[in-house]
Parts: sequence; C-alpha cells; structure tokens
Amino acid sequence: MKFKIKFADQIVGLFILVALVLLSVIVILVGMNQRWFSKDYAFHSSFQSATGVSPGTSIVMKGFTVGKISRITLNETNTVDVDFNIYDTYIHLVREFSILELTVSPIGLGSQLLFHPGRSEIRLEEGAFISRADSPEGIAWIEQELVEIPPKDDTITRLLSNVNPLLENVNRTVVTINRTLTEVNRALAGQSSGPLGSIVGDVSEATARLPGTMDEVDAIIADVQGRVGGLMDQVTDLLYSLEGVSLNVEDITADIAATTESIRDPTGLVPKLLDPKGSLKTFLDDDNALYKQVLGMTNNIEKSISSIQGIVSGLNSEMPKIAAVLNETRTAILQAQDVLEGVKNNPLIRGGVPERVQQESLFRSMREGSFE
Amino acid sequence: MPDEIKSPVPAIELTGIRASSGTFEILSGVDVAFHEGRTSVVLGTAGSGKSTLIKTAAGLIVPDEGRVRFRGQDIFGFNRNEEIAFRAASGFVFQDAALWANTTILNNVFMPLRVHKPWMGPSEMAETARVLLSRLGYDEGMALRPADLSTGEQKLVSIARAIIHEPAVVFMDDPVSNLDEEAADRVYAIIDELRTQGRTLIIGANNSELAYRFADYLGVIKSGRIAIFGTYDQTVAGAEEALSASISRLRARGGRKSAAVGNETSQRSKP
Amino acid sequence: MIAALGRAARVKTSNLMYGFGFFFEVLRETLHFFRRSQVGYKVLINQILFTGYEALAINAIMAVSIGAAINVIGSSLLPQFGQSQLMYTILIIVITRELGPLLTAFVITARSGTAIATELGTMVVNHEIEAYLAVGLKPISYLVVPRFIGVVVSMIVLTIYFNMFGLLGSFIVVQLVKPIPINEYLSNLLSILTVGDVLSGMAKALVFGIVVSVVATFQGFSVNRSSTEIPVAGIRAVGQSFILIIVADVLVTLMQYA
Repeated sequence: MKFKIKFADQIVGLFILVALVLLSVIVILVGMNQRWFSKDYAFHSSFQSATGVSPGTSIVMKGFTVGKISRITLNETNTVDVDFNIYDTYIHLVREFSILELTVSPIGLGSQLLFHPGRSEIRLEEGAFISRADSPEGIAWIEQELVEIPPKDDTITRLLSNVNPLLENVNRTVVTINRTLTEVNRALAGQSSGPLGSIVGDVSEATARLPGTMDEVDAIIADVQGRVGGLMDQVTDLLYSLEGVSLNVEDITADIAATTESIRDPTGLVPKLLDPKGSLKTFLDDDNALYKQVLGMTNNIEKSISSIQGIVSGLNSEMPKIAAVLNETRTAILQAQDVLEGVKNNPLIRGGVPERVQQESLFRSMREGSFE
Repeated sequence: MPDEIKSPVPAIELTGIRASSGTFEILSGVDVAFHEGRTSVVLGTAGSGKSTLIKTAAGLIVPDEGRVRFRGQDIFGFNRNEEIAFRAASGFVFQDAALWANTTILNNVFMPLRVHKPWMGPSEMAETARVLLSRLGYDEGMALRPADLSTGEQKLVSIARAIIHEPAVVFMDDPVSNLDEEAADRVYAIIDELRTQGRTLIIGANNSELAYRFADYLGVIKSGRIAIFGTYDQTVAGAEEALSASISRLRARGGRKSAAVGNETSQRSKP
Repeated sequence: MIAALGRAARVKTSNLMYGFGFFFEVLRETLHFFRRSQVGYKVLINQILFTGYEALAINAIMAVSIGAAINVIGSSLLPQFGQSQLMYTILIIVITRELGPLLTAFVITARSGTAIATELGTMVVNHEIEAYLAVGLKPISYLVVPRFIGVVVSMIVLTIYFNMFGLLGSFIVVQLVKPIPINEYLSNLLSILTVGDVLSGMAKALVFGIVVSVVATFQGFSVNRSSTEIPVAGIRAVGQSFILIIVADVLVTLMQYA
C-alpha cells in the first residue's frame, strides 16, 4: 500500500506511456503494411461491369499483390472506369502490352484481378491506360504472345478437370463390363456365338486408360481434402457423370443376378458346357487369360472408384447422394468380380461365389476429422 | 435588545423555506434572518429540523421552495466565482464531524486553505493547521485517518477545518456534541474569540448552555417551523413556557455576564 | 390509475432529465478540470492506478486466453475450408473490435463501477459530500471528474493492452502448442488490421468508459441518507452499466457498419 502511494505517479505514468507507445507502434506497423509511406503509381482501365471489383480489390500477379483498385466510376458511355495503383516495388513490371484480367473462381471463392506484364522493354508512364484481357487489343496481344500469362494454378480447377475424364473412363469401363457380363450370360444361356475375343479387346482398351489417371488422382487427393468445402458448385457436373455410372451399375447388378442364377442351375448348365461350340468353354479354356484380364480391369475400377470416394469423402454430409452412388458402384463391381470368380470356379472345378468380408464404408462426416 | 444594533443587511436571510425528504416535510414556511457580526443560536430538539435549517442556510441543502440570501444575494443563483467567494467566507461544523475518511487529519484540516488560499505553501498550511488543532487541544498525530480518532477528537478536527480559513460566517451544527467538558470549554473559548473578532456565528444547539453563553439572537425551532426568533432577551422573555425546556432553563438562570461582552462586540459594525 | 401513470411518466422523465443534466455537468466540469490547478489530481492518479493498472493482470489473462483459443481453432479448423486467412479477420473482429472493449468494460464495471458507487454512497451517508460543498469543492468537479477521467483513460489504455495481449501474447502461447512462423503471422495480421479497426475499438472503449463512470458516480450520489442504500447503489451501478454498455456496443457497431 505504501509502495503504491509512493510511486503512484510513476506507475500510472508508465502504464499510460507504454500503452501509447504500443498504440503508435501498431499504427506505424499497420501504416507500413498498408503502404501509407510508400509511393504508389496510378493507372486506369476500363471495364464492362464493376461486378467482382471494388475499391480496395487487390491486383495480383503470380500470387503477389502488386497494387490495389482505388476508385471505380460508371462513366457517360456506360462503361466502368477503374483507377488503380501499382506499388513502387512492382512499377518496373508495368510495361507496354500489360493487361488486367478478371478471373472469377468457378467454385464461388470470389474473383481475382490478375495483372499480366507485357513483353516489352518500354515502361508505361504513370496514369497510362491498361487494357483488359478480353478487350480486342488484349486478345490480340495475347494471341501475338506479347503478354506473359502464367498457366492457371487454380488447384480446384485442375482437380475438377481431372475428375470428370476419370469418371468418364470409369463409365466407359463399366459399360464394357456390362457388355462382358451380358455376353457371359448369353453364353451361359447357350445363345451366344458372338466373338468373345472382341469384347476382351474392348475391355483391355478400357482398362488401359485407367492407370494413367489413377496416379494423378492419388497425387491430388491430399490436396483436395482441405478444399472440398468449395467444391459444391462443381458437384452438379460430377452428379451428371455419376448418374450415367449409376444407370450402368443397375444393369450390371441385373446381369449379375442372371449370371448367378444360371450358374446355380446345374440342369441347364451341363448341356451348354458339353456343347463344343459353347462360348463359355472358350471363355474358360484359354488358360484363364480372359478371366485375368477382366478381373484386373474390375480391380482397377474398384481402386479408382475408391479414390474418387476419397476425394468426395469431405462432401459426405452435404452430398450423400454422390457417396451413395459411388458406394453402390463399388459394391456392384465387387459383386461382378465375385461372379467372374464364380464363373471360373463353378462348373468344372469348385463351386460357389466366394464370401467376401464387407469393407467398411467410407462414409465419414466432416466433423470427425476436424481437430486432428 | 435595542433595534439599532441590527445591521442594515442580514448576513444570511431565509424566506419562505420549505424543505422535504421524500414525502416527509422537514421545514415549512421558515423566514429568518441572521445578522452580520452577531451570534445567532437556534434551539431545537432532535428531529425538529434544526440541522436542515442550518444546512439550508449554508446552501448545502437546496430547499423545495424559498430563497436563501447571503448579504442580499440569492446563494442558489451564484455563479462559480461568487460561489467560491461565499465558501471562502463561510465555514461549517457538522454535527457528526463528517471528516473525509480516505485522507489524513492534516489533509482534512488544510483542505479549505488549499481551495481558498492556494498561495500559501504546503508547509505554511500544515503549520497553520497544527497550531489551530493544538489550540483546540487535539494532540494526536497529523497522519492519522479520521477512523483512528474518537468521535470527540473528530469533532475538534471538524471545527478546525471549518474555521482554519478565517471565514466571516461560521455555521455550527451542534458544535459541542460528543465533547467532554474540557474539550467543550476549549470550543467555547474559540467561539468567544470568533465573536470578539466580529464574525457571524449561526449555531444550532440542543442545550441551553451555548445560548446562555453566546446568543445575541435566539430562536426556537419546533416541528419544522421557527416558533420564535429575536434578541436573546426578547426570546427568553417572550417565549411561552411550554415551547422549550431550554427556554425555561435560561429563564431560570436570569441575566448573564457574557451578554455585556456580546453587546459590546456587537456594537462594532462589521464591514 | 391514469393519474398514477401520468405521475410515473413525469417522475421517469424528470429522472431521465436529471440523469442527462448530471452527464452534461460532468462533461462541462471535465473541460474545467484541465484548466484549473489540480486539487483533484491525486484522486485521478489513484483512480487510474486502481481502475487501470490493477486490472491489467486479469485483462491480460482474458486477452491471452481468448486470443490463444482463436489461434488454435483458427489454425486447425479454418484450413479445412481453405479459409485460413479468415483467422486473422476473426482475431481482429473479436479482439480489437468487439470483445476487447466489451470485456474490459465488464471488468472495469465489476471492479471500479461497484467501488465508485459504494464509495460515493458511503461519503453521502457520512455527510462527506456536504463537507466538500462546504469547503467550496463541487462534488462533480472534485469527486466525479477525476473518476470519470480516470475510468475513461484506464478503459482506453486497457483496451490497447488487451489488443497487445490478445494479438501478440496469444501468439506466443500458441507457439508452445502449435508453432506458426512469426513473420507470416505478423504480416498477415498487419495486412488485415486497419487503423479503422483500432479506432473502432478505441471509440468503444471511450464510450464504455463514459458509461461506466457516469453510471457509477450517478448511482453513488443517488444514495440519500441510509447506509442500507449503499449496496443497492452498487448493484444498480453494475446492472445499469452492463445494460447500457451492451446497448452502446450495438449502437457503435451499427454506426460503423451502417
């Protein structure tokens, strides 16, 4: 108590002084960061619409902020005049043929105003006009390769462009399997005289497309986990592809049922097997070559589907439909494998469709992974 | 008392005062004038409105109705400078001392000097306070807090605080309550000195001793009304027996020696 | 019935007018305070010591823990949405704009608001206020203004400290659990922090300081004569301050975003 009374003035003085010093340090740091003390160079441009740009919007080049929009106005000719500043550190990039490009993120993450420096030695004066990328001169400059435009590095765009072909491949393969199964069924039903060989050819071709895409998928899965939140807008596209897959899956399931039924019926089977022209004999007599190919193919599909399932696992809570379709596809493919196994085993060697241990579903809600 | 001793302007004049606390009316229709350079004593029992009257006269309580004038000027209409001037010219002894609890005795006593005579150095102020307190018989430390003192000692400190800046008007609300006889005698001596210096004293009391010793003017307050107010002799002679036990006691004591002193000093008119 | 309603309305109105009168008197006397030689200077120093300096510890603990919580949650949850930058925005909104001033005001209300109200209430009951009047010290200029200035200054200063502790102290705490490079943290923070954010926090601190001190002193003086009124005044000071602080917070925020 005595101590405080004695030094009250000093303590209070220090208490206030330190706070004021801290405050000024913060303000100065903020000022330095927000370039109050740096020279900015003003330029202007003209846009069709102010959508996606507002005063304060950063102008970005290769991920660095090189300037900011200072003012936008709608002029008499109904176009939007845009005034912006380029920081002095980047002023050397403002050369002839430089352009501005407004990119809107496909998945609703806002827009980015990109600056692309021109390939020229001539620096633009402060206050010069900078064209848009979609203006006639901008397009012309880009075509003449007068502008340095880096490849787009939007991971999600890249990811989506990969997922769609992948699904197309899957779909195509599923269709092929479907055809194979149909043929097998017809063979089993004693109706087939068709060229199994050609089907096998198709199948190999379809399977060959898969592994290439597979690696890519694996590489981007990790990256994707953190970004799934933004995928929503593109999910519709995915759904279209998936619906195609889904329809085929239904067919496969029906075929599987038919095949399984035929195998189980020994009375019908024996005569067919004895028929020397029977396709099934061919199917089974070629040292299991066809069988291995088909099985390898289905294995690949199974893997790729589970990869896709991995990609989309983050979406589960939002989009159960995708997950369900994928799950269904996987199950169907697994069953197809089993049936093929059964076809291989059944009549002459051992019998039955093997029991398969049910694999755990990949359904997992987002929250479970939140605090890992 | 002859009429000619009245000063032309009363030091403090109350007209039509009505004061209340909540719905309870403490003072009603009070008209009274306290004369310059005289000692006025208002007798009243506890709860008669005596303290409220003195505080209203000193401008510490704002009445619901009525006016209080200091040398002819409405004290509730004072601007800041006039207010300060009035406070510099007045001191107030509270019935319950009302010392500032969170500071030392020394600070309590010389606060009026810091406010009204800031040109005095701190050591001079402290010295003045010390002298005054020792004259009052206060012999405790200066760095003590009011809570360390007995109520009697607090009262002495309170009196010192009220008169240290030598005010022309001193309001005293029961100045000798809580005091032992010796201490009371020292207070009487101080009051006597203030009278001979020609100061205006307005004293509220609940016993006859103060009135007998010092009153030039004497009043009785009963149930929030001034029952009688006039010179000592007029009041003692004119009041009805039943009005106050104190009056009967004063009547029984008869004429007083100190009255001559009082008259003599009261003949000097105070600027 | 109608007469009672009318009378109640009149009393309410006159109480409200009295409250505003009190507030403006405080503001007027505050202007005088800086011009006069200081009798109330010591009261002011002690008020800042008690209200500001002594509340620094609890203020710092709150700031660091809230900041650390935002840091930890922000750096683990937000990247899942690809929005890790949002952490700095949240940190600034919570620490600088909203909770900083608000929590500081609550702490000051709980500590100093009650203390001021009960102290002044006790002084009224002990006739100390009348004693000040009698010496020529106006209670508003001598008792209220130093407390008013002291609380406002403490409030603003504590808000600055809250910012420092919340934005930097919490960073240091988080280093122990989940390291983030300091350069990245600082440059991200400073690029999002605007002077507007800081000023907004300061403005709130100023308003809250005014609210707490005026309400506390007003309630302290609302005591009349009985010592049982003193704790009631303390409770009313806290309750009324809390409500007015929240209302003021909403108003200031609306003014900034409107």
